[in-house]
Amino acid sequence: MQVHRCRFVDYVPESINAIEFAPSTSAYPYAAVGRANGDIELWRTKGNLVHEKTIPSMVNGSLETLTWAHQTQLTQDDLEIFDTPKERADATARLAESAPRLFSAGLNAVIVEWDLAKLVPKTAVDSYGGAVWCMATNHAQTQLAVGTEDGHIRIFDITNDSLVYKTCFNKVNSRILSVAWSHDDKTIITGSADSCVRIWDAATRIVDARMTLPKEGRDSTLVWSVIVLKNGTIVSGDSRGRVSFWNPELRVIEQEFRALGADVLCLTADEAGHTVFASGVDPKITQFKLLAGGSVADSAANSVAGKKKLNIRSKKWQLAGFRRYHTHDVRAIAVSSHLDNDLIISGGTDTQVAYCQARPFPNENPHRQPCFPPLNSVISVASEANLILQRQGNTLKLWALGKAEPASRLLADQMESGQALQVYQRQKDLLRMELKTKTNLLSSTISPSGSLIAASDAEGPKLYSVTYADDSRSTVRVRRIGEFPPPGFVPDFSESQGAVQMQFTADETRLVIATVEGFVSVVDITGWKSKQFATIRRHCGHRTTESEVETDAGSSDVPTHPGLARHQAAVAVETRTITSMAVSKDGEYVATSDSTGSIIVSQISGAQQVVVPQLGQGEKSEWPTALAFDEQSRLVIPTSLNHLYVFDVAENAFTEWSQRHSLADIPHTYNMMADCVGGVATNPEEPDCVYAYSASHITRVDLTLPPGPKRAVLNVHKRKQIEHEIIAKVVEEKEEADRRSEKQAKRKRKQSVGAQINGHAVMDVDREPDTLSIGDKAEAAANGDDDDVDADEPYKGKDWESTVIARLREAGINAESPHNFRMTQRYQNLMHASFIDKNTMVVIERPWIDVAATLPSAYHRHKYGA
Amino acid sequence: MAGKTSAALAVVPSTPSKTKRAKNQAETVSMDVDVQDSATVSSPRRRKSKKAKKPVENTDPMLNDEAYRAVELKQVSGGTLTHEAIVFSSDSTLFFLAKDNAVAVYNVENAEMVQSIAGDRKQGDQAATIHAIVADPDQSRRGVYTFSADCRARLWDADTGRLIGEWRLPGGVAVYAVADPLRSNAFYCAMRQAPVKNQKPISDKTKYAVTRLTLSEDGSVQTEPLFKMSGTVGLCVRGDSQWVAAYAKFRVVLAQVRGSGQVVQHSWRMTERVSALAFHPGEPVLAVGDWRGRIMFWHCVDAQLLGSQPTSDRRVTRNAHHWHAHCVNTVAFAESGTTMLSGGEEGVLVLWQLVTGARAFVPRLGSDVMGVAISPDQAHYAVTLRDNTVKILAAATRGLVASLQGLTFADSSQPRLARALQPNQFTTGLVVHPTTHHVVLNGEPGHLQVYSALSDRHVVSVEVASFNRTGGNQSRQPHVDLVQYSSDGAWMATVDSRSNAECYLKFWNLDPATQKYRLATRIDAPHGGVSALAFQPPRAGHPLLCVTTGRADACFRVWALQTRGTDHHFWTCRSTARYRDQFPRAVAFSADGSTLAVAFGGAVTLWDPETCLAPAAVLVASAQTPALSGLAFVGESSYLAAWSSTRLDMWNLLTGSVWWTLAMPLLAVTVHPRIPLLAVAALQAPNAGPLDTSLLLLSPESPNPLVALPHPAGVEALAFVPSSSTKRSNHHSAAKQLADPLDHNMLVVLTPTGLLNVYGAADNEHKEAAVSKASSAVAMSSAAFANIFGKSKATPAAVSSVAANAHVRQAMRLVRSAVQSAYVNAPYHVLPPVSALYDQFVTAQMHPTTPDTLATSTSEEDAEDTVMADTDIKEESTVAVTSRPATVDDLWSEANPDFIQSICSGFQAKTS
Repeated sequence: MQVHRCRFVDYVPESINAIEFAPSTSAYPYAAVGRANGDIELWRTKGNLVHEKTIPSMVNGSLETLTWAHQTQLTQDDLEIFDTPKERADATARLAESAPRLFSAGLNAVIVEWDLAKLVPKTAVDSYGGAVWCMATNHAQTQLAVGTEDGHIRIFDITNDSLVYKTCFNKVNSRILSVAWSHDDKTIITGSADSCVRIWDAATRIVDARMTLPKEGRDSTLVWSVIVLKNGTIVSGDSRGRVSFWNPELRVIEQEFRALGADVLCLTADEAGHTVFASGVDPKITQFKLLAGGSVADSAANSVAGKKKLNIRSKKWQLAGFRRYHTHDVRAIAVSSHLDNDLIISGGTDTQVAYCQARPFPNENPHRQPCFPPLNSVISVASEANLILQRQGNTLKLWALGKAEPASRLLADQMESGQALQVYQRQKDLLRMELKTKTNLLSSTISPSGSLIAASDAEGPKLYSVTYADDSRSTVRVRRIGEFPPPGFVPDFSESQGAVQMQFTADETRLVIATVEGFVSVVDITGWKSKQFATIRRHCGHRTTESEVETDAGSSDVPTHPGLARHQAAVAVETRTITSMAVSKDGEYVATSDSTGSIIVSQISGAQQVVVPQLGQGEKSEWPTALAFDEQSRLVIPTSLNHLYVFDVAENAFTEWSQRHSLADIPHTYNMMADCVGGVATNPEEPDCVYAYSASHITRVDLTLPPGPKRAVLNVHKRKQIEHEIIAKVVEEKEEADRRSEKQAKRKRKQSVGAQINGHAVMDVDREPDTLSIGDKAEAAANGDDDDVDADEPYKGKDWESTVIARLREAGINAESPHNFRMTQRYQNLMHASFIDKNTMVVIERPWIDVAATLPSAYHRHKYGA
Repeated sequence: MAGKTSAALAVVPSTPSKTKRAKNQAETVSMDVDVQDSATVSSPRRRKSKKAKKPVENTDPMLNDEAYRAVELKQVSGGTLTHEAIVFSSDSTLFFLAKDNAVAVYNVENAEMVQSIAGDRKQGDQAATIHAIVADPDQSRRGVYTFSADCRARLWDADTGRLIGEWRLPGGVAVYAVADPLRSNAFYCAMRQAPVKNQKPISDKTKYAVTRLTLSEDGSVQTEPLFKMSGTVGLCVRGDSQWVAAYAKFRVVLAQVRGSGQVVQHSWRMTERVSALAFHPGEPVLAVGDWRGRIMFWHCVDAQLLGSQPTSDRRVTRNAHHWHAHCVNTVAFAESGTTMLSGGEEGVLVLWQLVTGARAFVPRLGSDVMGVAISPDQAHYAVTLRDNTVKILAAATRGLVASLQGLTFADSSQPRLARALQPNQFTTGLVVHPTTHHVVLNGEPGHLQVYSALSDRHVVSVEVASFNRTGGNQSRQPHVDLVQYSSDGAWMATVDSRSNAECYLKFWNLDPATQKYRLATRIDAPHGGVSALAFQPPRAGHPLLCVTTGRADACFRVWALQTRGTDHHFWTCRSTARYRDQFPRAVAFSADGSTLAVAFGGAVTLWDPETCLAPAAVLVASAQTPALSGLAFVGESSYLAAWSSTRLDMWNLLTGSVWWTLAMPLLAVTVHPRIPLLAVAALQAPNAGPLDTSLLLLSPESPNPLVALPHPAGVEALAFVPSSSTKRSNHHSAAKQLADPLDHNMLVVLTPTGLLNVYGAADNEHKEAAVSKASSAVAMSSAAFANIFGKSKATPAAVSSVAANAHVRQAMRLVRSAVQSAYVNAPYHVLPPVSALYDQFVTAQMHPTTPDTLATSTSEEDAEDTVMADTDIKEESTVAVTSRPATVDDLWSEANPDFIQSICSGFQAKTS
């Protein structure tokens, strides 16, 4: 089997500028990660941190700050409207149930509220003050404070789903870099570029106090970050690398720490205000804890007087630990104390999202997510034409795979041993096209023959034909097919037509498009050369709310809503997006899943739809991270808990394998992988097997075999190594035993001879004859014992093979029954893996070292002795 | 037997006059004892010697003692100061350290010794080892508590040295002790159950019980066990006396002591080895220093945080203070809690300003910081260094106030009680500087330390080879192998090597202006390692010579001083010589510099140092002589001492014969540079322990020691320190010398524990007595010899060949036989032809004998193992006759080299 191991894909990730957890009140387990180009990634924080979807930004957008809002209390106006307690309770309940709102702002002077389901801006307003550096929602979740380039704080009203400019504070003669609300919302604290921390009265809009930080050198200190803790303590982080804790009443620094070697860019605190994390240009995440301290003066008096007791206990901040998770500047840290798993997420210029548990910090090792979006792969492969299409921002890149001498080896051998093949034709960079779209691309796909490319931004899908001038593909012509989105592929009432998933059928007759509004449309593209397109079918399985069903009923198509019976929380519905899609090889079915976890399999040619039963229950609820049909058109569903379901569409039931083996049977190593499966590849040669891959492993699962022992060693390389070691050891033992028995025989012979000699030649021996004989006897006795054990073994026929097998079993390797879930971790930062032919796999990696080479230089740290 | 009576110091029953004692107090450690004590002490020894000696007792035992009195232990210098932090008195004017079973009291301002409190000596001859000292918290007196190996706690007045109180500890030995900060008579101690012998090192597995002791006024002791640990290395108590912490290797135990004896114990296992522990005086913080150089602040001293149940796994918030790159040896807090002091291998005292995180440094302290103590008035810091130094720094200026340095070679990093000179690391021996009479010996790696043994003061440290102090691996450090001075002190020659690969011979010239030695010539790889080094005494009209012997290349080289211009001096190799591919191991010049003696294997070769063409003579005592390790011309006499580890041969070069032989396990030999006097340190019995040693002072004329002293502390090296008044003209008569060998001279003995024991002539009254008995001194001394070793039956090989005292006639007969044996034993190719020897040999054999003497000779042979000392009673001629066949027989029985046998039988055939 041949593996195309590709490392030429040059996906350059954007640096992370902001990370915010959704408010704890909203029961919405997401964290928003804002990238520098404006893309916002939404990560699920339940269980493993899993990337779910990306909200595309404007082309060349900017993002400096993100904030969530989730209003739970009625405002004064609301109270006037809803005057009965019943109405008020209902309104409050409605508020609490609604989805949280996400705002972003950046240097392009626009504040945007995003639609989390449709992945488009909901509202956008001008900041009225130039670039926005910071933004904060007040604790009542009714106002946004925005700090801008021109030195004003502006307040935006966000009640009733609005985003309206409200008022402006006095001007400061420098940009406002950070802003925070006090817990009672009566004051606003800002940090600005003129080395000042200011306390503003939110009502009168004038400065209450100006607290100046010392300068280092001539440049004024930049207060990059300010937060307010629950007890009112103001914490500021500045360009000197210091973290200062301010007394809110006296407005003086209570404690100051030289936390970092360079600028402190971000601060965050847990909800109780007992732990503060800081990081910045020096990519060291530093933890501060509020701990009991003693009174110094008191204790001095105490030991002199010799009688008094230590009495007064004050609390003091202590630098309680630090850890370096990143190689470059850390721009954002977020701590969730409301989640049951208590995460710290951090990110910055090195583009990786790192997370770990907050409580054992700094002893916990972090998990790092790959720099590219691990799910909803940015790579698509034209299996017949051996082309690779990569999407980044608003550009598409196309490569042709290289060719190598064919090898006739089995896949397993290839995976385990690896053999470099002679490459006679290297990969070729065919095409780089920048699409004229308003937003970054949402999805892209290439047809198996490579002649069609479909790409979509938030506005709608586009289709391109690719023609190659000659066989060597030296010139490539790309033409947009103008009539492509056929008019009926979404109903007329649809506001956004952006496609989150698109896929060609294997025979290139159909293109399946999943839109942001939950429609799965099948478009006939057989007549693409003559620009003839027709929408064959529109499935509405993911549109399950009553209002949606009503709307759909008005349209002419076949609005089947099989998932209608599902009772879904309002939050889930409001933010529901189709996250993955798979088309079966025979072009019969399309399976789609959305972020609520529902999976619907629809017929491409017919109107039939099947709803896959819900995966997991309650606490163990899972959602699919990818979907794929295997060679026998069974739907393979890897989930967020690293489980693997197989659903037989024709039977409308999970397969026997899937029913028999629950999550508890999945091997531990596979189950505990930190990154979730991002895709499944199938080999036409091995119809019973699927290859599930994530960024760090490829695992071959044989669906005819049981999952194997729970504690098995899955990594084939590691297993081989262990096997070799054990076998070598047993062989050594065997040889040793052989040698010993041989020696034993010799010694016996010698002893009989030696006894004779002893009888005559006692004089030659130093020892007394008595002791000698006693010693000899003892020795002989000892040897005799050995004999019984060792000498008998060969005669008993000690089964060395069974010894090996037993030891292997102890080590987690079952030699008798073949292992399932065979894993290889040879490929790291794996972007994509799929089969382009029988026994021919394409593996696309993006090694971190290549990404790091594209990043700006990092903070230089002196090392001792280097 | 003899070794078991560990009568070390009290053997000298001297009562110094009060004035003398008062004079000595300021500068010397006086180890004198009261008369009453000594009577009881010396009695068992005398009883034993009587029992052993009874059949041949021919001298008055009282006279024996008089002989002993001629030499006595004058003082003990050097020694290990401390490897932990020192202890300040509660009024901060004094500091204490446990030095060699005594508490030395020093003044803080000038580090001068004020008082030496030798522990209780009623129990035995030696004071019990002091394990812990604690300053008396009671500020009304300047007291010090000691906890010693005899399970006792004692309270002493530091000013007068008076014992104030004594308590017997029921629980065992308190090895570490810390005062309870709240109660002046309570202590937290790590107790070891059974009292163990002093020399037994504390291993990591020793079990301890950390206990609270309360010593009441009425002498009763109340113990309160808190928790148990194995291998406790450190203990600290918080200011509120509620919290006690201890560490051992990777374990830290924190115990909360509540009222009514309730103890809650928390134990943690660390990933890094713990090396220091201290409580913050104010905040609930325990500072833990580890081997990685971090000082972790544990915010754990909080009952609410830890709970009332014993815990071990509770997470504790920790933050690190990390500057040290190597192990943090000590952490201390100033009382205000704002400053922390730490030190480690870097030799830098780090002062941490805890509030701001700023650090200040006192760098270049010279060696690893082992301990830091802060005086109670916060005015002084005392830094204990690994090179046996205590430095007192002023807290305000961080400037050096006073410094106290012991022998740097006595490495204080060794675990307490197990400190001993490292084997193979002490190679220079004790070298006495010819003009200043200071002792020169190995210092820290690559250094020589010049030390005044008499005033117990470090003089200077000479850096012979430089090296990187920190972070280096031990084997890469240079080592000074040898040092010698020319007889006028103008030149110093050193040999230093590094991991036995690099080797340098360096010649240093004394700069008269600065009185410092400056490197004049460096010779790289003079041999493959140098085994011995000697300067020629200056000869008029000849350039100064120096001889080195190679350890690996089997030759010796003569180096000559060349002078170009007025003051450009350098050394060049003048000649190289070898002898039969034997390895030279020792070298010596005669006093006038005209003869060079080099020991090749068991043979002593004599050379003309100017030519070195061929050996002028080869002296071989017997074929069995082991490879010689030392050679020395005795004073300005014609005697040459050659010794190996098992025997010492005294050659008379006038006769070319072995004058006498001492066959006993020798530890060290030294020769006085001018007076014909040598000192030998020997094991008391061939299979005795390394500490059962005795010192013999010998005259080259006789193997009977002038003085024999038991020295139960072991011997590493010996040296005579001439007093500055001794001049050549001051050469006393032989009788006077014999009576008082150490008049105006001191014998310095370095023990394995790094002590310098200084022996000198006894005080006047005894000396007079000794002089009056001078005539009988020889006879007495032989008895004294027997006294030490018991009857010769017990040690039959002790004296194999003995010559009588200064009766020349008899000696000459012995010489004759010795000459023969020399001829017989010498390698045949160096012998003159047999024809040339024949006449002489036959003359010797044809000595007239009478039937009478033959009869006695047979009886002598039957009683061969009788005491040799008795031979001088016999008639002279008898000895002469009997000694010859004995020699031949010895040869035969010892080994039978065929050719010797044939030669001898041939001779015998001829003579008969």
